[in-house]
This record gives sequence, C-alpha cells and structure tokens, in this order.
Amino acid sequence: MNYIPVLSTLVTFTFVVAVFNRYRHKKGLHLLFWGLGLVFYGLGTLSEVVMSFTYNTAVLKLWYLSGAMLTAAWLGQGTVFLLVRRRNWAKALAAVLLTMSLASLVLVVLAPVTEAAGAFDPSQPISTQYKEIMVRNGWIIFLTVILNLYGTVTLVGGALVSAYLFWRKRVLANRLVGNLLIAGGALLPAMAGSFVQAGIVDWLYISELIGVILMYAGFLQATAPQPVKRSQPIAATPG
Amino acid sequence: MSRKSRRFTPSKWSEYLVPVLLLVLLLGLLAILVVVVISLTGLSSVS
Repeated sequence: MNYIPVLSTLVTFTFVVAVFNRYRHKKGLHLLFWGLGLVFYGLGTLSEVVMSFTYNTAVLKLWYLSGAMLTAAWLGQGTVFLLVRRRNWAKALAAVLLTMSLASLVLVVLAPVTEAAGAFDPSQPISTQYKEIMVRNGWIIFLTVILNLYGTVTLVGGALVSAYLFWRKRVLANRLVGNLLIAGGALLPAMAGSFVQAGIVDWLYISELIGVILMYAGFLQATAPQPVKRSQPIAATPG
Repeated sequence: MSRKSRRFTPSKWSEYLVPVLLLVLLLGLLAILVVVVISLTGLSSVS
C-alpha cells in the first residue's frame, strides 16, 4: 500500500472541513464550490487508497470522474465566483459546469470496462493502468480536457491575478502569500498527468499531497485574521 | 481595519522574490496549457 494517498486524503478532508466551516459563517458561493471541489479531490485520493488494496470498477470510475474530470473545474468555479464581478456571468458558467459535470457522470457510468480489469495490479498506481481498463470515448476525453483547462486557468490564473494585484497595491501581505501558495499548489496536481507520461509515477502521488498542503496553507494564510494596529481606526474586518 | 493599516512594505529580498515567483507560476500555467494543446493536436497522447 502507498501511504501518500492516505496522507493526501486526510489533509484534503481536513481542508474540506475548514472551507465548509468558513462557508457556514461567511456564506459566499466561492466557498461552497471550493468545498465541493475539495470533496472531489478527496474522493480521488481516497479511490487511490482503495485501489491500492483491490480492484473495483465503481471505485475506478469514481476516481476518474472526481479526480481526473471534476476537481479542477469545481475549484476554479469557486475562484470565478470570487473574482467575477458580474454575478450573472458567474452563475451562467456554474450552470454550464453543472451540465457538463452531469454529462460526465452519465458518460463515465456508462463507459465499458475491458478484460484488462482482471489483470489490475494494486501495487501499481491507477493512473498507469486505467487507460487499458476503462474505455473512454471521444466525449469523455473532450470533457476531461475542457474541464481541466477551465479549472486550471481559472484557479491558477485567478490566484496569480489576485497575488499580482495585492503586490502592485502593496496591501494584505497575507493574501499575497496565500494566493501564491494556492497557485503553486494547484499547479502541481495539474502537472501530474505530465509526470505520469514521463514515467515518474511516484511524482503523481507526491504532487497531489504537496499540492493540497500548499493550497491548504494558502487558504489558512489568506483567511487569517490580521492584527489591528491600535493607532489605526477600525473601518472594516478582513473578508 | 483601515486601508492604510493593511498596507505593507516589502523587504529587500521580497522585492525580487515575489516577481520571480509570479513569473515562474505563470510560466508553469502556460506550460500546462501548451501540453494540453499539443495533446489536442495529436502530437502526443491526451492524459
């Protein structure tokens, strides 16, 4: 058994609790979508843990749907809700994301499984074996690419734009650092596919773990209450 | 908290580090997009 996905799962669900706790107090659709995106992240790493013991078709499909298709897009949609001022645009994008996610669910559930499933080796990562087992039609591949592109651009791009703005205005150093950590953390799992293709499969698990740790650290940093200087008047509380 | 109290003065090393980090992360994002586009055009397999 590989212990790295176990650690990733623990960190991710701790992160989920922190985000939903904040959502409970502060509301805001960005927190709801980030929380749901992290649930998908955690389901993906949890599936890796289960598949390191035994093969199960439902778990394989859960891994593909949550980890490979939905995580980045739902996290990115959270950033869209945070940064896009025009609420209707953000809601329209969320409606498109929801439709694509439901289509992905149906397609993945209906995807046939080949006889290679019988030769599944639990000691090897799913990412190196799923292509031979699960038949992905053109629509599944199309949706995987589109959802990941959308998620990566919005999540990483949004964090970078925010960090740049805080840096340029020289305000809220904690949010500057937090956004840099989130951007770095989100980039790592996005690069995981490239690691697998390069044959560095261990890096997939490590990138998932470091990725979620960095994003969690970034979230904590960005949402940390800032000390109020006594000499300054109190005009607003941090968001 | 007033806007003034939220301001910070970057240290000497962060004056260089932050722009470098922003650039590196931006290049990382662009690299991923290039890989995806290359995959889509069929020059490599889609993950």
